[in-house]
Amino acid sequence: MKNIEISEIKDIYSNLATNLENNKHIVDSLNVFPVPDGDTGTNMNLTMQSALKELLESNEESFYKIFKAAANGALMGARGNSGVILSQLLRGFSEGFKGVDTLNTKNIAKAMNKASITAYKAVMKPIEGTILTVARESAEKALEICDTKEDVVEFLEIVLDQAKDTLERTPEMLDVLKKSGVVDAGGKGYVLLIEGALLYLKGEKLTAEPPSKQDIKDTDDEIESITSEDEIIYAYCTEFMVLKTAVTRGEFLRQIQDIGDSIVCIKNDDILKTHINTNNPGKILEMASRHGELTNIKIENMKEQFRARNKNKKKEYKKYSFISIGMGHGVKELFKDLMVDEFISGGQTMNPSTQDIITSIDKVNGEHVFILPNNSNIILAANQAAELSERNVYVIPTKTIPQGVTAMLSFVEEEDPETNKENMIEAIKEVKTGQVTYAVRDTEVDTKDIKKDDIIGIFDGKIVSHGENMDDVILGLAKAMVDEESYLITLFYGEDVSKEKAEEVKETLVELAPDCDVELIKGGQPLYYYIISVE
Amino acid sequence: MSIKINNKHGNINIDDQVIASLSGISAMECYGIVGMSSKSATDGFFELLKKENITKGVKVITKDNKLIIDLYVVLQYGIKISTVAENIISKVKYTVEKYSQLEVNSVNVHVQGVRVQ
Repeated sequence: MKNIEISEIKDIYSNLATNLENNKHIVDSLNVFPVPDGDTGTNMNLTMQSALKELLESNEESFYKIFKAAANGALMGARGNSGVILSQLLRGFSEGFKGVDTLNTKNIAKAMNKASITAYKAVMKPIEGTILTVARESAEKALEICDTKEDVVEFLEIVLDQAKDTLERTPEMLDVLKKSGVVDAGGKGYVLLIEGALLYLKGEKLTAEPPSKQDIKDTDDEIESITSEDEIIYAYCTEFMVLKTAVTRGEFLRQIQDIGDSIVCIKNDDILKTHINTNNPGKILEMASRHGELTNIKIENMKEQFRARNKNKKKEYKKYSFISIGMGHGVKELFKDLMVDEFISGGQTMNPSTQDIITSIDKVNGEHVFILPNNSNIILAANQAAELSERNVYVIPTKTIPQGVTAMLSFVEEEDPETNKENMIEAIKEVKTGQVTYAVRDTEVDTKDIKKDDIIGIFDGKIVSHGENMDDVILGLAKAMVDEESYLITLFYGEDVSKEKAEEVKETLVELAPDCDVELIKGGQPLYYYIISVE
Repeated sequence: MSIKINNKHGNINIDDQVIASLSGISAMECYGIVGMSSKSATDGFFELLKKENITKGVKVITKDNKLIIDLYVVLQYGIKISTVAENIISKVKYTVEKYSQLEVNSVNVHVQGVRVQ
């Protein structure tokens, strides 16, 4: 057989999904990595079933569309680590069929390779000895032989052998597997899928084993999305199985569809499994019992579940509020993002009054209020406001915007206010702040001769660099600030600086300190061209 | 802040940094995660942290000798975010509990971005 017809895809997919489903317990038992919780087979199976469902509902327009449907299904239904990897593999596989109209060995090999590449992309540290390795080596083998082997069955047999061989070697690659004396569970799942496809092409159709107890849907997920008790129209979540029944799925569905919603009905051989939300479980069970013996009956009151779940949720109240002071639109946005409740505009040359701060304290509703003055001239006013106010007010003596940002970041909701205050004060000591602005008059500082309108770089209150060229001043300032222990440089650019210019400055800083992460933030502050913080 | 374990022979102190490293490294082993991001990145200018700074994307709090771990992560585009986050939580909880013998109260995953590539 050289080419596979599009009409066969659905059957092939059903077969490989069934092969996985029937063997999922074997896969489960192999699961020791990343967390040995024995659910790999179940997760892969659920992901595959979701893929299969979408695929069966798709129309057979093109290979790409039909595989894409499966990939979407897998994405939506992905469960667990191996399920996510499988969904990426299927996505890559479908991408490989873009614009392809024949399903021959060459195209299969290309798609498998694309699948492996896509799967590898989504992980920072690929762990070898997992499904990733099995998929990659199988794809490599497929590419190698696809030119010479044109018969799909022959081709898949070789690929399957390679997959099995790689699977056997997974314990050599991953220590955890070796210690437990198993092969990789996800890799085993992959082998089962290829095997399922091959079995179909050889003419062996698999049938699913009857559903077991574990497959019954859990109601907890259902009530998760409900916000009020009134939304529950049908109160009883009812589940049961009917054994040895002759009734068809469609017929039974017709009988019960008017008495409830969220109906899921599955018939496998002579077993009918049903889930329904209804207000009349007795009637449903009575109807079902006419068709055969009932088993695994479960009826739950969802309203009660909902109330129980809500009781556990604590009533929310605000424990902490924050007030920050600063200049510039970007700075305001930054603090708002950091959960600051009130922002007072002010800073160098326009200090807010004590009254301004008290007004802001009255506006916020937290039990404890923290104030970040972000300027040495405002700390005093903030302290006065704290004394005058009857609320629990804590002033963190931040002298610069970066210190304020760092203080906010070191705040921990769960800690008590005193500990938080200490932590925040401790944290701001770590921050070094530099500012770039211009001189307002001729002056001489520490034997440095500074002319009016010169650009000056200030580091913790001292002028460390000056001159007419902005770039040189920034570089001089940054050199003074960065040392071996620095790991993060944040650059706030002011209202007079364009984004492009700031990007250039950022590049020079990256060159200066290659070990540091450099962050660029639009501060939009007046007077200061740049504010630089080094941590 | 660190966790203390006392027994009759002496004391063991495990620093939060150690827990942060354990959490960061084990999270990186999860499928779907492409990096950790710094928390100061809250205004959209966040950046992927370099490998040696990974612990900057992890916040560890100890409360009653139990751990609360916050992870700030960037994921790959095209995968189910909620599932990857769940995987990260179970992996980190498992690894930290296994190697440090400490109880993990909760692991919070903050997805800060997706990488499109």
